[in-house]
Amino acid sequence: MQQYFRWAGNALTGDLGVSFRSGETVTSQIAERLPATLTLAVAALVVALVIALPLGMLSALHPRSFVDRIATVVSQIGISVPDFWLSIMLILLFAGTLGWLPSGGYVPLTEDPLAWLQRLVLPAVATGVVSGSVITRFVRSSMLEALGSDHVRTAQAKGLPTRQVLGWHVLRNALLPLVTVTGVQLAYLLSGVVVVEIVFSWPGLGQLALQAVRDRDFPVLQGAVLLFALVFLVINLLVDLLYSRIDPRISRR
Amino acid sequence: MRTNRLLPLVTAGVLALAACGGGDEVDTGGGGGGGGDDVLVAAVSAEPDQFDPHVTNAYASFQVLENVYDTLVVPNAQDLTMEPSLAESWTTSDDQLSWTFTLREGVTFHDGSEFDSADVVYSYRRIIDEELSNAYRFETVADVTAPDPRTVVITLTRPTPNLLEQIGAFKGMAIVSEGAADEFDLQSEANGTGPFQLESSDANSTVLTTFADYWGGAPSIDGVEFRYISEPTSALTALRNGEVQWTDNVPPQNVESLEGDDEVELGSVTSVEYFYLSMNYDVAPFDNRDVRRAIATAIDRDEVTQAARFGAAQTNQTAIPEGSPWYTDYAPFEPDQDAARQLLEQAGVETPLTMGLMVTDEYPETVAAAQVIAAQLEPVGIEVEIQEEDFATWLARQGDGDFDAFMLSWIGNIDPADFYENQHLSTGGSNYQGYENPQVDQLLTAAATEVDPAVRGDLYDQAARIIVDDVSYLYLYNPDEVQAWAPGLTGYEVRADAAIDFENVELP
Repeated sequence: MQQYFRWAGNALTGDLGVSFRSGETVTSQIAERLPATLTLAVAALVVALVIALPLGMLSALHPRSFVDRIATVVSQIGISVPDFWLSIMLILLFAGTLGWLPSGGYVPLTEDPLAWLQRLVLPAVATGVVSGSVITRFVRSSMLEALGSDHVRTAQAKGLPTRQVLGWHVLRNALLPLVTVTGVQLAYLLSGVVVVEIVFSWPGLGQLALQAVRDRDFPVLQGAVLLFALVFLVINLLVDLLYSRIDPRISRR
Repeated sequence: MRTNRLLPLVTAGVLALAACGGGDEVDTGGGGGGGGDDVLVAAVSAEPDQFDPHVTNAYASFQVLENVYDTLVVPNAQDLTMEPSLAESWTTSDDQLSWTFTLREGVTFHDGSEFDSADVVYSYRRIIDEELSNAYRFETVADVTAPDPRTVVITLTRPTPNLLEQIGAFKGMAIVSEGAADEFDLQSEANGTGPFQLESSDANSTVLTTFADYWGGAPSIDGVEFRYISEPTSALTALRNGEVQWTDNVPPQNVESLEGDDEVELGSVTSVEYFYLSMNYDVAPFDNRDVRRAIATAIDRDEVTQAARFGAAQTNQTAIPEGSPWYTDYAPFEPDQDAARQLLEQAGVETPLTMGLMVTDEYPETVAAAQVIAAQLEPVGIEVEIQEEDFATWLARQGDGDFDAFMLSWIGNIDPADFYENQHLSTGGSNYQGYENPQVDQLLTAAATEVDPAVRGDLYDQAARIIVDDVSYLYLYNPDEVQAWAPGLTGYEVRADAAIDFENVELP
């Protein structure tokens, strides 16, 4: 108990203790790996949105059409496929058979932008596909809901051009749940890329946490978990703040 | 050696440089900082924890340190007998209590300082006085002195025929420069005498550059990059498409498919590691010799090896692999279920009998082996209850003696004393099974101080036979050490002690 409070007190000042394994401070180990994980999470989110926005919007605009069914099947597969399997398949195809991309590793952006991008693509796709599939579903359902709402019907009835209806009345309203789910997905990506980091030898926090579990390196594990929790809180806070920007009604309440 | 799969990060490999006898290779320059293009990229499965050779217990660290530091003597690549390294020659006094080492001349450390006897005394005193991980290897050492710069004298409290193995078996006994612990941050820096010097290390890789003034002649490559790739598929793909030129991340199930693959060259040698099953002498009926012998008779090692290692191993009924000068050619058990049933009957135990077999997912091959063993013991009337534990629980239960039986392996041993003393002496620190045989105690104690190698070998041979007959350990197999590299890479040899030595490598 006493130990815990001492640790918590020190943690407030940024002192997370010293790794049993390497003797380095936990803070420096986390700081060393945070950029890699952030890079991967943001890149994965970009991939996710690139997949989700067009696919979700298309299927919402043409419900039960051929496009919609394809999108449903694709996103179902995306959600179901385990990320480690997808990662290995991507490596075998793009690094192995085709030889277009390296099989893993990490090069900082500042060192060699091209090498950085080459190594980022596969892990970003592997993580982004799952998130993208989840977000696609949300885009579709919230768009559909907005499309069916009274004010949209009114807007259409008074003869506004379709583009204006979609852009102003539908998208703006559909954005709200989308921001929530995207925030949750980003938080998930930051803390949930462990497996992908391992497969692609991506030197991020997930790898650090797993190594710490293996070695029973409690200070490091504690620090990593604390950071994951913190990331979750901060992103949720940001999402809440964003709400009031998107929907002024919320801040007035 | 107290090293054991029990402590996965404990001195795994007894790593050593293949002694480069001559040392008259031409120095091509390079080194000393900026690496050139001719860098060997090696995919290893884990990141080193730190680089202090006297402190670390991690195999991942020793893979790197093997190429950075030297010891007084090193095991050769063929049969792991000790050869000169930093010591050119040595003599022992008549009473066997004093060893005098003559040191090699013209050896320099990476920082340019000259190597002499003070460095040896400093290194050994550091290990002994600070009680570092390998201090136990100096158990019989009374003192280490340096009468002159080229001479080191080690005095002993009792004859120690395996002193060379103790000081040379792996780089945990490395020679650092005098005062290195104050001058350098040895956790992240190194100052050795080896063929490569530590350049940098981060979460991605560890980089070594060639040391131009290496006493054995500078390596022909410009450096080595150890890249951490823990996923075998990624490592093998990286090897195939030329991102890396070497890897030891080759799972046994891939060996067969890789053998026919001309994009990859495969090297394999039976290692000094051994897997065994141990039964608890304090739990009935495993205290009964006939019951243990019945189990040893019912198990078919070929099937176990096939399941656990996909055949990439040598079955063995003793600990030391064939090919070692200390190998005991003894295999009394033939898989025979009728004979096993008879032994159980003779022991007077009621069947079916239940045996808890503790394994850990930390070493998945023990789980696979346990499943096969369970299937083999069932028809003779022994129901095996496989208890799969996480490693921390596993270790705790082993320490408490809370088991019927368990499976694991020991690694990194070279000298027979390391194979038998801790495990089978009645006072042995790792004798968790509770084996007690005065005859074995007497043989092992006599062998520990016997200086005639032939007599000593014979004593261990006798002890090993009794240990096998009593089933103190039920020995199963020696796994193969398998490594893969790019076709055309030369000057590399897979070693039975799993030491990774890149000194003589030439890239395709």
